Amino acid sequence: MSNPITNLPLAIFIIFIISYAINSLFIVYHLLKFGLDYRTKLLAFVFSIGSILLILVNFQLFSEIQWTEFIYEYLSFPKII
Amino acid sequence: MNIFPSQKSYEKVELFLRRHWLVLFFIYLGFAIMILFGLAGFYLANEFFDLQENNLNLTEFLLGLYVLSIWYFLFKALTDFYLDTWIVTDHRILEIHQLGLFKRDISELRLSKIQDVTVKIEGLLPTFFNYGIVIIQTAGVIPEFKFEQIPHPQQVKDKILQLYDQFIKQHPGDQEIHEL
Repeated sequence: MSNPITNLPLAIFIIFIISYAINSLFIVYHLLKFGLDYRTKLLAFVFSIGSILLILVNFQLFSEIQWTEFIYEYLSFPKII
Repeated sequence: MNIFPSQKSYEKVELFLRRHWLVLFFIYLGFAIMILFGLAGFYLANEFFDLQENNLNLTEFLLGLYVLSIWYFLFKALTDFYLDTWIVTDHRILEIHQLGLFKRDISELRLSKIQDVTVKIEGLLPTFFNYGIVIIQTAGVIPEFKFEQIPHPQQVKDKILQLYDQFIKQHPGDQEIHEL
């Protein structure tokens, strides 16, 4: 069974992304519902595309980190055998 | 075609105003500086601590999160900019203020309620770039309407006064002739 400590970064990251996605949806909703010209629609589109791309990039960057090594060697957590 | 939702069929939009483009430029400039600040921090950390493998990955990830946050706050600022609008029609004035994501103020003023229009251009940049505040004193519940940082405030004031004169002439006794 894996040590729950090593899953903590993933859990925090997922919570961050979910809150980000909810807040982003509010922005897109406001731009689409209350925007009075094409520029607000364009802005909503650019924001959505950019956010999706940046989230994917962040997932990739997250996956490249060796969290177990980081937690045990740098944060000095005691190993559970 | 209706430009805003509550526009009447006989109503013509004369002015559709947002803040001056310089305000937008400063929003972009501020966020560009913040991005550069993040990149500089990443570069310096890499240079001084000679980051290897996992540390480098971690720093890249933190930079990614920083850019993601900047992206969000930039568009939040742009939402505020684009949703703050002032609409002048040949019958009324609408002031729409977006204050954050869940506060929105919409005020409306019939042209006959205008008492006084003032223009304020204060500071170096507003003088050079010709933008400023137009304040409309009213006889209504809201004592004044403020058009903030709008371009060509003098022309806007002249247009509002011209529309007021026209409205008073066409609507004797402040009666809506189109709805009779």
